Amino acid sequence: MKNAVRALGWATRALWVLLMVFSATSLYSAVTLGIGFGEPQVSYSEDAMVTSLPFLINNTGFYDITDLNVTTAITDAEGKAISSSTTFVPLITAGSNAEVVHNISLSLSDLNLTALAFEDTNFETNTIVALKFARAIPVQMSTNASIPWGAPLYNLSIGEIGYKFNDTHLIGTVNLTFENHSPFFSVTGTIRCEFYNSKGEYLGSGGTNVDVPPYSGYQGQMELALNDPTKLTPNGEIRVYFDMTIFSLGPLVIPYG
Amino acid sequence: MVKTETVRSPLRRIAPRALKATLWGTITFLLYYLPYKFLIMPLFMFPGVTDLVSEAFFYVFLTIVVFFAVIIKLFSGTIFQHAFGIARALILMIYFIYAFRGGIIALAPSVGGVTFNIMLDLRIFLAMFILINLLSLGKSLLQAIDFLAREREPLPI
Repeated sequence: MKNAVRALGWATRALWVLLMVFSATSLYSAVTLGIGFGEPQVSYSEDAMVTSLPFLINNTGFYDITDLNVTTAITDAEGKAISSSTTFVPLITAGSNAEVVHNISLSLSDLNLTALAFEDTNFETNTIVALKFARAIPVQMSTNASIPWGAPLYNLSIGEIGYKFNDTHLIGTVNLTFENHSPFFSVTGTIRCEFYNSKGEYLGSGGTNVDVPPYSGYQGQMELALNDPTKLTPNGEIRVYFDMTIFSLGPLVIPYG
Repeated sequence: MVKTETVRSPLRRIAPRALKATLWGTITFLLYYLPYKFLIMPLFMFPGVTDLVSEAFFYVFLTIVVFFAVIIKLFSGTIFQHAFGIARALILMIYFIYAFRGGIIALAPSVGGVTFNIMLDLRIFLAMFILINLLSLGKSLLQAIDFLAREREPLPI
């Protein structure tokens, strides 16, 4: 009996020591863990906008970090999921560091580009970071953030049509104004207009090149060469096409008259 | 004369025990309080740590540990010493389950206006604490059985 009691006593003491050492070293490792963030990069492909968030984890502690999983889910203002990106790092050994790039891909085909081009809105992001510390302690961290979206063609308006003659054609002139609220990109490309009468007959077209930096307004005049002035009616419509370097949009139908 | 002897003898018996128990209680208090003050308390400057390590929980733990250290010493050499040992192990197990909130701890520190929801799975620590107290419980039970068995032992002829 005495030996059993003594053995239990030693086992308890050994477990206490183990627990204390594990607690102290875990706490030390967690406190000394270095996390740094790099400059986010935004790139565009034909169908997607990719935001790359580089970050560095410097694991100077005593224990490995395993199963590091970074997930970013983005929803639009109505709560519809538009993107979900995951980055997985299987192992960051003790005493080493890992440079990780978390790519958040936003498929442009999933977006209501027409609404985003003209209306400011907010994207809601939910970022979840999960990892296993010391191969034994699962940790999960999450945060929500609201990212304001600035419309690149905010408050687009086309003024009254004016007419003038050159040597060969009747020229319609329209004033075009908009504000680029986007903090991310310039509105660079061509705005093209097609002119139709009330019967839907094509009258002529014109275009203008624009280069509007972020947080800037645009005010310009567009000239539309009318092929057959006899078809001109008091009212009709202007179809506007936007051929930009990062997106194409149109036609936006604006009635006149 | 006889009357004075009967009053003095229990006092004589209790006084050293009480002194020993007080001393033991003080040592136990310092043994737990000093590491807390110098190792844990500086961590309170980090956001969210106050949610993780509650001062109130620590003082409850300290009270339990010191109370049982004193009472076990006070009743040493009796069956109550082992009974209190069993009670301490059981109470500490319940305390740890409650303090660790079942092993899953949720924190919501706010850094620069952004709230982070952190979930820590500390079940491994809870399991170790419970295991330690189970061993302690087993030890106290065996000691109680041993104590009772020795009391029942027939005298050598």
